[in-house]
Amino acid sequence: MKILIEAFAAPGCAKCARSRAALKAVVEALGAERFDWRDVDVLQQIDRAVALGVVSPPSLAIDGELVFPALPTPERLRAELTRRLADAA
Amino acid sequence: MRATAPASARQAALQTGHLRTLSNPRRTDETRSPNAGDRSSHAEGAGEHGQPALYYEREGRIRPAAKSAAGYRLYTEEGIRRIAFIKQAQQCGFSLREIRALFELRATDDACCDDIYRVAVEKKLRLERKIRALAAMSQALTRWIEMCSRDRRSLDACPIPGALEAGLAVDGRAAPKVLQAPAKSA
Repeated sequence: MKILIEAFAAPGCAKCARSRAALKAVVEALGAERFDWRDVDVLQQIDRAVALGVVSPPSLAIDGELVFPALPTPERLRAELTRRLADAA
Repeated sequence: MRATAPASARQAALQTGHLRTLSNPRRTDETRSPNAGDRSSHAEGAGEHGQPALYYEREGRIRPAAKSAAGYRLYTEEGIRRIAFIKQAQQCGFSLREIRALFELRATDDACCDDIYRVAVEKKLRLERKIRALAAMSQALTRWIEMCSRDRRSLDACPIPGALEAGLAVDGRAAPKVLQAPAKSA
């Protein structure tokens, strides 16, 4: 089963886009087919954002859990995803 | 308006109507009845119970330009605008601490519209969260009210205090046994 990654951001946030690109690169390096990456506009999908407790985007949720209220470094994301992949194996 | 000659710039401003009280920005202090309220009441235009203006005055962010002989705080147009900003921000749900952060942001040279946009988005998310929590709380109260037998039994038999003690999750996910509605007496 794919790991769901939801990247919450406000529209038009250039900084968010840059950070997101670096994190997406991590996902692709680990195998894009193992993940379901979704970009979530907090204003368009505010119910989802609020349900997960997003209050200060950009944030990252993994499998429906707000693991990173603030975007992590690529290294931290890699460590988290590697651990989850190992747990799932 | 007093007929005395202005002894200072403040007095001059006062006499030309440039200094105003908060409770009626269109009225200068000198035209306001001293019986209309005590000194603290003049901050009421800034928010509940007049505290915000006093809070920011203590912080040095807003200062009355002068005080009248009757003790009324008098503000410049800029002061009035700042207080209106505080009042509006409070009505949008910003706390005093958050408003202070907004003031600091406004005073930052390299701050831009995007910074305020980010603050507004974050505030909206927090408000939406609070709205949902309040709605869930209201629903929980509805359930508890429906459970209550409204008879003369002791409080020990009433489900509402029990539900509160049990820390029932307001979204209804938790349903402790204590919330089982008591059988109504015939």
